[in-house]
Amino acid sequence: MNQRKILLKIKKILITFAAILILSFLFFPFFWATVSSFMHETELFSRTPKIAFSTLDNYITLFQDSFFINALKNSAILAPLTTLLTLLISTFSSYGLSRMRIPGRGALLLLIVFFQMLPTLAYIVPLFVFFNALKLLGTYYGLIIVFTLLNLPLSVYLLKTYFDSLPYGLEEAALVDGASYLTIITRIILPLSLPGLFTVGIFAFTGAWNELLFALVFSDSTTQTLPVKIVGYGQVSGHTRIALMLTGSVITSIPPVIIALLFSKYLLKGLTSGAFKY
Amino acid sequence: MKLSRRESLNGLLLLSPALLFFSIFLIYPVSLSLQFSFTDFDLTTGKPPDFIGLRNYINALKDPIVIDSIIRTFIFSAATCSISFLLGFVLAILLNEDLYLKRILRSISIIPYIMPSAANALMWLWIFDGEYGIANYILKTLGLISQNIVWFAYPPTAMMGIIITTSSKMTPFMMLILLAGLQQIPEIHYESAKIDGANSIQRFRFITLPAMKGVIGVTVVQGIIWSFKTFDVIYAQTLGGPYYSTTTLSYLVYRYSFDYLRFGYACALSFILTLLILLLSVLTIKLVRE
Repeated sequence: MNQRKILLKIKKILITFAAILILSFLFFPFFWATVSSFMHETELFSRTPKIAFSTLDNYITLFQDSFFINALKNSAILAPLTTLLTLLISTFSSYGLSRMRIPGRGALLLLIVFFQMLPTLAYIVPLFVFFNALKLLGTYYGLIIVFTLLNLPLSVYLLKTYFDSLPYGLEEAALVDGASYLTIITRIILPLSLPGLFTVGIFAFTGAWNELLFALVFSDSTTQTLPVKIVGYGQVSGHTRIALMLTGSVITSIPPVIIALLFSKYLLKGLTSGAFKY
Repeated sequence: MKLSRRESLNGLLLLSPALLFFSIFLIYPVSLSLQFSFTDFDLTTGKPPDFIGLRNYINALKDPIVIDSIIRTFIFSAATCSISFLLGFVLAILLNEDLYLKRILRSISIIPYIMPSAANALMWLWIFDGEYGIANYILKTLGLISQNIVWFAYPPTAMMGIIITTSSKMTPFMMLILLAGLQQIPEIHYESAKIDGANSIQRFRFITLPAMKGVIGVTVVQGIIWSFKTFDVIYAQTLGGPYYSTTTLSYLVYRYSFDYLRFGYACALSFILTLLILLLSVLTIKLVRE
């Protein structure tokens, strides 16, 4: 009996070890870039890799680069505003999809799933021409619109599934009492849906924060976001640029990483509800 | 059941912001894109686009650059999907077992997935650096290579680079979906199989796999869509090079759109891409169902 216990313990240790081994491969880029970002150039560019936390120089240089600060500012403005607009639009439409008997509802849902799998590149050219005509290229408005567009299919789908799971009784009672849909949504549904809204909000925020393709094509030098800026560092050769590229990548990753650490529960709920984002 | 007119009217009213948004910024552009794809719309010539019928599509299917990039997309997709699926499935099974730090390991495993793919790609770029990269150092220390490899200067190693980079983000994604699937399998099934004397491989083969069929199908389809849409990693690491060796169909659409400004041709290519994604997704779902 005792031997069996020891065997089980060994098995548990081995399984833990194997899981950590795979996870460390997945975490290695982030770990290695973070370590590298705290090194002097001489340590960074040596034939035998070192692990050293010896300097904040790379961070100081980066924060003195006005273009980087500007990109940071743009991302910090665009991501929350996109989140707000996404939440606003998806709340109403998801409620409609969940509660009303709308003709062609099944087809609408299918269309939303199709939008989610449609490659951005299938509509980016006409959108570019269209936005050019509307003078939206290179503006915050244009970027917020395209980021929201990318977020909407997932958000509508997620929230609809969430609303489906809420009991209908309260709303019926409110309807009988003559409440309007706006009152029902703001007074009954929203307070009950905070976890669902939160999940959608997190996905919308990280979606806008991480986006590269639209951010690249639809921005100009003043409205560039962080991902565009750090990729820019990567595409110019030179030692200083590599240090900036790594430090910039670490900084860009920090908000999503913090969100993942604090709210992994909500992210998991979104991921396993059948709506996906990559 | 009779539809109440007032209710469907209210429903449409509630839906209208999203419908309007999708119609203006998605459906209208997609239909424009379809129109463009039948024209010789080219920003470099500056002349108004002419209708040329199916010529863009015919040219595309005769263009060796397009055909090669489609083949490359399939290789890239097959490699990233199988690496991510296998690694993700193993990790999901491990995290579903009895292990130490279970909750922490599960919740941190979402981090690589939620990281910006551009940042992730740049971090790998440094790992694979030809002169100072730690990948070369490790491989040399292990005696697997004798000289530094300049990873992104040679077609096969550059392809390996973008495959590994994409897989490192796709693996945790697949793992989390698979793990959620594993947790749905009732423990009782395993217990009764144990009583019947089934070993762990048999339990996996006859309980886990059949129960996971649907979830496996979903993860594979998502992986295919993801890999076919991949742009960030290629743009951040190789720009499609050296020569065309890491130019997938997605990246080729981008180049024809915004490097060569051949909008008509690019739109035709983008519909070929969309059709391929649709076709593969439907095929995979059919395959899994059987």
